[in-house]
Amino acid sequence: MNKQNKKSILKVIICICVLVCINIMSFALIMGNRGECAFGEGGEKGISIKSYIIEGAGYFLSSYSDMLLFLNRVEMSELNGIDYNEMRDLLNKAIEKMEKTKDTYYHLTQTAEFTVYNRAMIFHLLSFDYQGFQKERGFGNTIFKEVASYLRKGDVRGFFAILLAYTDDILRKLYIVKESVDVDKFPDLSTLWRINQGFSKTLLYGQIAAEIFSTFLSQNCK
Amino acid sequence: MVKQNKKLMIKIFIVFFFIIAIEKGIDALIIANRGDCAFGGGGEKEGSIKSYIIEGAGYFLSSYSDTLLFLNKIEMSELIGVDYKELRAILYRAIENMEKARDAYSNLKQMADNTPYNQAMIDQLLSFDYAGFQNEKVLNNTIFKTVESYLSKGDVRGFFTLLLSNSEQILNKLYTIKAWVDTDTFPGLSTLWRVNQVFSETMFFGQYGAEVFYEITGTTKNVCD
Repeated sequence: MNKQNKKSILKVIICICVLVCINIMSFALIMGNRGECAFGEGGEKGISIKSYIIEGAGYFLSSYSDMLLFLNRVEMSELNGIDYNEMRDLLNKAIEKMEKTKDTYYHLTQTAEFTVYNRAMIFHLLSFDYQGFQKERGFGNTIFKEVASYLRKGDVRGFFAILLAYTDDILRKLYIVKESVDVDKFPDLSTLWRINQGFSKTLLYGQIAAEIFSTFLSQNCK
Repeated sequence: MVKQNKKLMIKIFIVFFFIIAIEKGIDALIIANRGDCAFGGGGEKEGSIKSYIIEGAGYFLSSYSDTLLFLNKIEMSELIGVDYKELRAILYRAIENMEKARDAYSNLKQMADNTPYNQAMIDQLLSFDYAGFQNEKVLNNTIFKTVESYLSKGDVRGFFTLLLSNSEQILNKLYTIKAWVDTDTFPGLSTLWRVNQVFSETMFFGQYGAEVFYEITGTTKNVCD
């Protein structure tokens, strides 16, 4: 009886949490926000997709922030010398968060794979004026065209899969830098440049999609 | 007499610092590195150009790092709520560092405007294979074309000027966000997106410049001696 009561209480708590989440309509704001609107009729899966987008973006931004501090130390090493302990610390933090980003985006792609699309959002993406939007916001061609290549086909799952692939690529390069820094060796500059490019490209890729998704009226995203 | 000695000591120290800096070949590594090689004559001015590039890049990277942390707090606010005190602290740091970056780039521009070019380096920039380099490194087309538009004409001063004007643009957007956060108002998302966009484009711009400068000075002996 006691066990049954406990189970019932747990179920009630979970239901309350789910309802609260739906009510506050949590959105990822910077990367891929409202991507969850492309899926289903709400419910648990829709909420998981929302949470994964927010969590993934949070870890990603934090990892990139640490990476820029690492690059700052690399830059300033020419004036202040090199403190490998500090560099290792910053790099390990960046890697840890990028691993969490990758895990989150993996769960995101898996959940999206098994959740039906929301036709209203997909129709919005299919009929969206990408060219006009690009011009209005002043986006460069390269990254915008890549985002548009997925969204204009209504392929939000493909868009998430690319986020995961980019994250994986950044992580592999971070491990290469780690190999050098772990043995007190100055990291290869071209690898650092490519990592920075990977981070920046991924962030803009997610942000442009967030901006496009946000044009979908919130009342149509429940 | 003691005062004069002190002044003399300081002068000797400054000259000594520049000699060491030039001897060691200090380079900015991430943004606009070796852009100083485009300027001739050696001595204090060239040393200052190097130092301003490194300083500017250092402050810029710090400011962008803080801005991303700020964006992280904005993103996570949807799950854990908004702490305006924390947002303000992070934003103020981002602004302070960006003000220092802008000052460093302003000094860089002034110094570059009053220093003659190193013709050997300019010749290398004029004859550089930009298309081949872009293909090989898979660089962002839009931003690389902007970098190319300056460097293919040997206009390194123009390249520095754009770094300065972009820094000012970022700073203005950060001030707009500050006005919101100072009154506990959630900042406008489109301004946050635009500030991130200009940060990203400026960093790419500086980095691609650095990569071109590095390619030239790394493969051509004596061009940056």
